[in-house]
Amino acid sequence: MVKVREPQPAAKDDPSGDSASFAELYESFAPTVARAVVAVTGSPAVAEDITAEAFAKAWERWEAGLGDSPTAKGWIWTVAMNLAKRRFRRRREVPLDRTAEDPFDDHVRDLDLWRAVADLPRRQRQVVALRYVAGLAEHEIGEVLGVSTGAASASLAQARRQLRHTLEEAR
Amino acid sequence: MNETELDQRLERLMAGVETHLPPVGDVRQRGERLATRRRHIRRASASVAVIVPVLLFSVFLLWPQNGDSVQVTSDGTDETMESPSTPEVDVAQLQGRTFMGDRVTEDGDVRLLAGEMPLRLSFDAEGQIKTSGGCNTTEARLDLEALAQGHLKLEPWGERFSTLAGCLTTPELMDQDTWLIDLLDSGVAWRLNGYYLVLTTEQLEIRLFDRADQWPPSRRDPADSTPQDLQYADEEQEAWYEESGLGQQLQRERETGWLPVWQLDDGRYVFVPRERAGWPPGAVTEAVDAGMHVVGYWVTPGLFVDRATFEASDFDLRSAFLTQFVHHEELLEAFDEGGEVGVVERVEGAIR
Repeated sequence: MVKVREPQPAAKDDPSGDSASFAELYESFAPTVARAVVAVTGSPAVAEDITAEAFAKAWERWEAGLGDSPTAKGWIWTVAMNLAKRRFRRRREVPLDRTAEDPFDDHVRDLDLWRAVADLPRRQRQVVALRYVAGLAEHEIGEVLGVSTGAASASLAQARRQLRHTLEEAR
Repeated sequence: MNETELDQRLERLMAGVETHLPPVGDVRQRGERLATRRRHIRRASASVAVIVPVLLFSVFLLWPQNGDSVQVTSDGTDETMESPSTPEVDVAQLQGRTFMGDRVTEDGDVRLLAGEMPLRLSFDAEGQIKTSGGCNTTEARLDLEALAQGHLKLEPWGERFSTLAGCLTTPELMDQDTWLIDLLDSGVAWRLNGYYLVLTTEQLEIRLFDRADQWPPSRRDPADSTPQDLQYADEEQEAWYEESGLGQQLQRERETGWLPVWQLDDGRYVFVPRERAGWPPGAVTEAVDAGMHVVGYWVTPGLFVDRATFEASDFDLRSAFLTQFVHHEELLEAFDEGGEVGVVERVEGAIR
């Protein structure tokens, strides 16, 4: 499991300590998770729902120890990515709709690259999201996705190669 | 474009993605709802009601004596002996059999269950049943009258015995024990459908298969057939891939070089050890479980010294895989929250 969060025990005399630490993590971390899931699913609406679901599951276990766990972020990444994968499985791996929703603000647009990402296989989109949104190292990506570091590295290399190829063809 | 440029473009692209998340209070409420639902599952079995003497007496009168054979129809709807047009199944068909499984559908959706093949029901010849949802085993007496009327129901005032394993690391299994006991306390319709025991309520359907089917395994000479390699590749590459949830023993064997493979053999789906040297100790039932996960539960499993087979009259490999994808995802959900993924096997190629 990825260790990306230091333990932050709640103050014993503060009954709202759990709630406060959860809120703090949600405010700081959920947008990153949501952006990564957008990259995987292509849909901000779906990504927001999946992110909320992952954090709801986290809250359910927060007082039971997850809040004090150094692996809380890794746990949430894994849940979010598995929820995203399941959502796709239920949809029979329908390719991303590249035009239905525009997940970008008005200032940062790189639609060629976005379309190239959308054309990647789901596993490669996950790896790209975890690398470029979450900033995870390859061995951490492997842990989140339940694959070896080598497999994660290979997927990332394939994704980069495919992206470069697609972008050069689009020129 | 070099890698650095690509990395920079990707980072800018991802940083520009906008989302609008719900407030943290809404997420906490959603989490509370999940917790409430979990607590409902964990509720304790209802306490046994006060025994009503008249009811006891009635049951005594209706109780089948030793050697009696209670007749029910195959769909469990009626036990009338005067109805010759109704197919009848002797309750004795349940005696001595153990049914197991993990396939539960609730309102049409597959329900998450923890553990591998956690649900087990064993029937003896004396009207006793042993039940387990994955942790403890509870032995109780069946309501034989209800059984004859097509309902599997525990006798509420009968003695019950239970093992007392704590299952501290897997409380979900204890929850399932309670859930199963509650279900059988309420009563579920039952029917035998081929090799399967099917339990149903208005919302639920539980499908269990007979653990003893085609047991013990019979020897079969590998030279009797010439299996054709079944090859399939990643669906994302416009082919197929297979992910089977292998048990720990098979994983260990896999790590030491013993790798089972799937083959299509004369219309059957066959799971064979690569070396054809027989099954490693402990791997046989795991192989069957893994196979059942893959191809679904409406096939007939067969165990042989060198292979496990799965057969069905209208077996459709493609449909089986589609089903497996959906079902296996539900199994994966059990691993989601533990941060583990139980997918260990992957075979590549293309369906021929």
